[in-house]
Amino acid sequence: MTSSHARSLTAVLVAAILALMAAACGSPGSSNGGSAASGLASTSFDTSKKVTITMWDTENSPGPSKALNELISQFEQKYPNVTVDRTVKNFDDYMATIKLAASSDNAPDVFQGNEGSVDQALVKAHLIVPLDSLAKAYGWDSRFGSSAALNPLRWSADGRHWGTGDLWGVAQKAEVLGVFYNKATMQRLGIKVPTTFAEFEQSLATAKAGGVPPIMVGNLDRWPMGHVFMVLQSRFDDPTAIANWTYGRPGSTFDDAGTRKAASILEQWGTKGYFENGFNGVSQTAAAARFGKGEGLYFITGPWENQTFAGPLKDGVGFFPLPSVDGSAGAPTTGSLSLPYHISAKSQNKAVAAAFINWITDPHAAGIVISNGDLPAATPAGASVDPQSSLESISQAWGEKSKAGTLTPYLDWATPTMGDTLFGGLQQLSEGKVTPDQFAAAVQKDWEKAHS
Amino acid sequence: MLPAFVVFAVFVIAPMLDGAWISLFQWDGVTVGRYVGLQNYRDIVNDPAVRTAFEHSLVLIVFYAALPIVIGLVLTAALSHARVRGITAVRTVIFLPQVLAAVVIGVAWKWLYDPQGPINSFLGNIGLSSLERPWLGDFTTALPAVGVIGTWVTTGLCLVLFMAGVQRIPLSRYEAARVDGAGPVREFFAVTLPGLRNELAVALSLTVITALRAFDIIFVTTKGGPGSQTTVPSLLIYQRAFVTGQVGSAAAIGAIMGAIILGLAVLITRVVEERT
Repeated sequence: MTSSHARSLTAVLVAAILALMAAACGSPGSSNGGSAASGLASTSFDTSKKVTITMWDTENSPGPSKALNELISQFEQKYPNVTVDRTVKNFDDYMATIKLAASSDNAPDVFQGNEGSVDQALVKAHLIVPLDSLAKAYGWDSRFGSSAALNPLRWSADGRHWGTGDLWGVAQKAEVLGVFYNKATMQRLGIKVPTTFAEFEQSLATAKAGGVPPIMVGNLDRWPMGHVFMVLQSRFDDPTAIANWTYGRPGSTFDDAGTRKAASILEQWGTKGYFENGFNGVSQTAAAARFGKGEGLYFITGPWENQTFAGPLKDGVGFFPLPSVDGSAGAPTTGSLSLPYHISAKSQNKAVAAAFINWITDPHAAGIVISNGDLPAATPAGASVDPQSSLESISQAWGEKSKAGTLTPYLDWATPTMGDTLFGGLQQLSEGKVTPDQFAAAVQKDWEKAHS
Repeated sequence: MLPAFVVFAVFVIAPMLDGAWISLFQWDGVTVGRYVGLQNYRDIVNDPAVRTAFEHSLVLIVFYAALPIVIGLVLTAALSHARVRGITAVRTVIFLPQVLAAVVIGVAWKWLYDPQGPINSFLGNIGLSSLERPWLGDFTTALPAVGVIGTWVTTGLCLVLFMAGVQRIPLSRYEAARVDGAGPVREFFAVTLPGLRNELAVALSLTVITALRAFDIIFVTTKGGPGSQTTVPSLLIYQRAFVTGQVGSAAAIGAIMGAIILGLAVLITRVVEERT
């Protein structure tokens, strides 16, 4: 290359780069949300106009996915002018892409969010519409047990206050955490279903002595131990305090006596070998599959794993909420409405979207969800569930606790980085690498950094 | 050359500059970003989590670069002068990991490392059950375990590079060495190693860059755990860009990583490559 050629090439390159820089200058991001949902209170829409609504969800497990497909075809039959276009992704991929999808010009009309930082981002960016008037028209505020059940879906309009304010989403399913148990193993060990917390701990020791892994957990995925910890915390800490902290109320703290007690119990369970061997290196899918094959006595998780266990074990698997200290019923436990459905602020068919969301969350839909082995939020109509099954126990636990308002939220909702901090900290705590006090302090430090 | 430059400018230089621009903002990815100048860089330099992540990258460099190069050199020295049958097959098998997708590799090794998986079974069968561990969940073995996967992936590349390089070394040099009474080890250090300088530079550059950029395998196996034993800068970039809504900070880490990788590549080429 001759030197004058090189010089002119360099000039072209520099000019191109400067042009690109000029074009790219300006703050990234945009402030254009969609139109406000004024007047969106009617439950009817024009049934003569042909309409396609797009929907995004993360219900990729076979049971819930089949339920949604069934509901979609029923909706399309009821309203022949409507077509529903569904996109489904697994949880991690979904959460990594939904905010971007919602902010695009082709945002889906209906899509799932997640309680906590995802919903907060959607509210702050004006990407979804408030649903209070629709809730009144469709009766959503009385559909899910108590009105407190909807609190995790409430945000102030500026997205700064959580658990109170406008209603931004409605959920189809529910989650309540508890103890799945292997009925045959329990009988073989000579244990009865524990009715107090002390009996529960006793059963752990009995199982360990009998050579059975007391609690199966697949903590290579990091979040499973989070659920074990949360049900423990709800046993020893005040549920209102837990909720206030998760919702970011000023002055709340994680580092209190009840939480430290729960943390020290979990540490003891780890050091006493109450979890299966090498639990921090076993994936959740592997651990759940092994439990389904009959290994272990207990598995502390939620309804999404029910089919994994009940598929192979059928009525041989049962479920009970973690017992209270004094044996009384109605003790708090972790649970909530599951991932909510939102209406995009950019949707051109908000009324149809609202009718669709109503369709997939009402008691009829709940019946279809429970027939497919998962837990619906509304009381299911027209479905019969095997009274001996774990699903029936789960359904009862949800109904009882959502009505009593004694459900505590998921702790990792508290800040965007809390999942990492909490689950990483629990991996260390369960192996005795940090003390309960250090664990609680680290979690509180993360919370304070996010809420400063 | 101009069309190539245009493609390069559009797909490489422009995104780089865009990323550098974004690193000057605090941006959640959706709403309008807030200009903060070099604040992201200041925060990153003071962040112990980022320091730890880069330290883990240094450990991975040992597994992804140093070990495979040593193994590649030893195998080359042993195989290049031997008349071993099926040497092409051996070379192909060792090179195979290079063509597999990283996600596939991660999933397969996750199964191998499972506490009830083949590695522990093998150890138990040969009487070493005291060595059995939950490899990816144990606080001490998680990072080396991930590193071993890297060694498995890049050894083939080094081997192929060095064996090809050895073919180019003139036989006369070997003969001269033999005349001077050199044994195989002396021969290796006096003739083979200096003759492979260019290939060494390439191998070192590629493997070090792979180590620093490692993401897929860690994301699929441990996601940075247990605790934070296997966090690496690329994992932090993913989390900040897509999960916690700190896109500016992610871009800043990316810019720092890019500068480090560029610096290392230049250094390696300057020091190791033969001056023609």
